[in-house]
Parts: sequence; C-alpha cells; structure tokens
Amino acid sequence: MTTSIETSGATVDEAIERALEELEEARENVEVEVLEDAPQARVRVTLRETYAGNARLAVMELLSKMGIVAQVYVRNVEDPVTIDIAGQDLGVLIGWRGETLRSFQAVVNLIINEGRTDRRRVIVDVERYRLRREETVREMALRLAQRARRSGERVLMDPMPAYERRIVHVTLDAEPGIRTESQGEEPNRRVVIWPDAAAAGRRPTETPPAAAPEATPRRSFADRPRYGDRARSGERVRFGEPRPTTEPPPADES
Amino acid sequence: MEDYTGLVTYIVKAIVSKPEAVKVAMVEGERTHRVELTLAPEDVGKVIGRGGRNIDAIRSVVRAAALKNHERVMVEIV
Repeated sequence: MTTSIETSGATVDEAIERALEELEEARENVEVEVLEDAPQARVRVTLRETYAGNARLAVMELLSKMGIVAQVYVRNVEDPVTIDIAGQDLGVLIGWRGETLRSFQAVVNLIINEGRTDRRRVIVDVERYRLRREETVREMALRLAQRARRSGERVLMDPMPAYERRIVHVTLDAEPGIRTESQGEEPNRRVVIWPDAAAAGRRPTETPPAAAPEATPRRSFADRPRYGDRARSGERVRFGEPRPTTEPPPADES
Repeated sequence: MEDYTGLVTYIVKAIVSKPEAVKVAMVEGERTHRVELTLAPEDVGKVIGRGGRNIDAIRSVVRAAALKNHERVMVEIV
C-alpha cells in the first residue's frame, strides 16, 4: 500500500508543499526524492509506510466507499494507534451507543492486520465520541455506586454493550462497599451494583436481607433518580418511595 | 439506488487469501437490496469470523452506508 505522487513547483520546497497538501500528510511522514531542481522543480513524494499511515488510508478508503465525507487524522502514532474522524453528520457512523463505530473499527483492524504478524489494535474514534462516552459511563458508575452504598439497595444500570459494562466493572473494582455483576441477556444485559451489606457472607440467590434497621427513609436528594439511571420501561421508582427489592440472579461476569 | 458492491468488494478483498475468487453481485429490491458474495471455499470462514464476528461487522458498516440513503442492504454469502 505505497502511495507516491509527483509534483512540480517554482522551488523544491514549493513542490513538496503542494504534494503534502494533496496527500494531506505531514512532512515527517513522507520520503522526498528530487527529480529536477531547475528551472522547474519536480519531486516525487512517497508516503512512508507506517502502521498509522496504513490505518488512515484504510479509513479514508472505507469512508469514501460508504459515501461519507470527513477528514481523517492520526491522533496517536503509537500505543495505541488512534485514528480520528472529523466532519458533519457522523451520527450514522457512530450508531446506537457507538455500536456502528465499533464495527467500523473492527473492519479497519481486519483490513490492516490481514497477513501481518505484527498485529496491533487500531482505535478509530469520531470527534472524540469514544473518550467522551467512556467518561460519561465512568461518572455514572461512580454516582450509582455511591447511591447503592448509601441506600443499601441494589442499583440497576441501563442496558449497555459489553465494552461499556467492562468499563463499569473496571471502574468500580476498587470501590469499597459495593460489588458489580452483569445480568440479563444481550442486548438487554446490564450491570447491577450491589451494596456490600447484601453481598457479604450471603449467596446472591438467597433471600434479600431484612429491611435495614433505619426504617425512616434517610435518602438524600443527591440519590434522586436521574436520567440514564435505568431503562425507561418496566419498574419505576419515585423519589421517596421504597425501591422494589427483587431476587438477585446468580452472579456472573460479563 | 446506491451501489454497495464497491464497499463490500474493498473490505472482502482486503481480508481474503484469494481476492481473485471474490465475486460481488447486487440484487435490487424496492427498498431492500441484497449483496451476494461469492468466495473461495477456504476464505468463507475468515470472512464470517468466529461466531460471525467479521460478517456482522461488515454488515453493520454496510448498513450505516445504506442508512444515509434510507435503504436496507443484506449481505449474504452464497
């Protein structure tokens, strides 16, 4: 996958500049060969074959064949190679909770790793969607963990794709006073946050413990239900009302 | 109607061991089109992937491309 173009200009620098513009590349990623110096400078500019460069080319090719107009940048050259796509109306490329973006990334990885022994994972992001979403999931997890700890009751999170559930498990792994598990079937599999009081010394399949000693709702306003806390269908809890306690299912990790 | 064979061809040819055996045909429907994929037998497994992972990803990318045009495309290996 070598790309090479020839350009000319009044000076060598000008010719190179023109080539870089056409390739949309930075100077350090290309090899320059001067074909003619004067009176008209001609150069051959060859894209240095790098992992990130190849990934970028594959992404550009895919997008153009999908009919999507966007700019493609290399955000990270190494560890991990990260490609960023920028443009308008890229929602279709992200899909529900980033599912389409994940598929797109999987295809990019398939293409560039085919027949290579030095396989590396390439991350494809759209306008930093991935970063932002990960941050949102982490914040939500910490907030709901806090609620589970305070209320002593389990908290159900929204159904999420596997990699987001993983973010929750990893984020809350070191958090004291709670434990997490995934339950349900795809695509409605979700994380449940259990307070430790319910988790400690008790099999999850046993009956829930008797109501906590303090019968008066000592609920803080900070624990009020918020958008994104649970699926909008099914059980609904109003502020101040006791939460329904259901039989916990057998524990298993996602 | 958009032509989705170019997209499918590019992806599949990049990942198979016998690109010359790849044939991609499109069967038009009213709203839903079908892309039929012919492969060398030894490449079928690679394109499908473990548990259908690869073909699912390809379908998802094609679906996104079709969604922009308010169309549906099914990708099938024949």
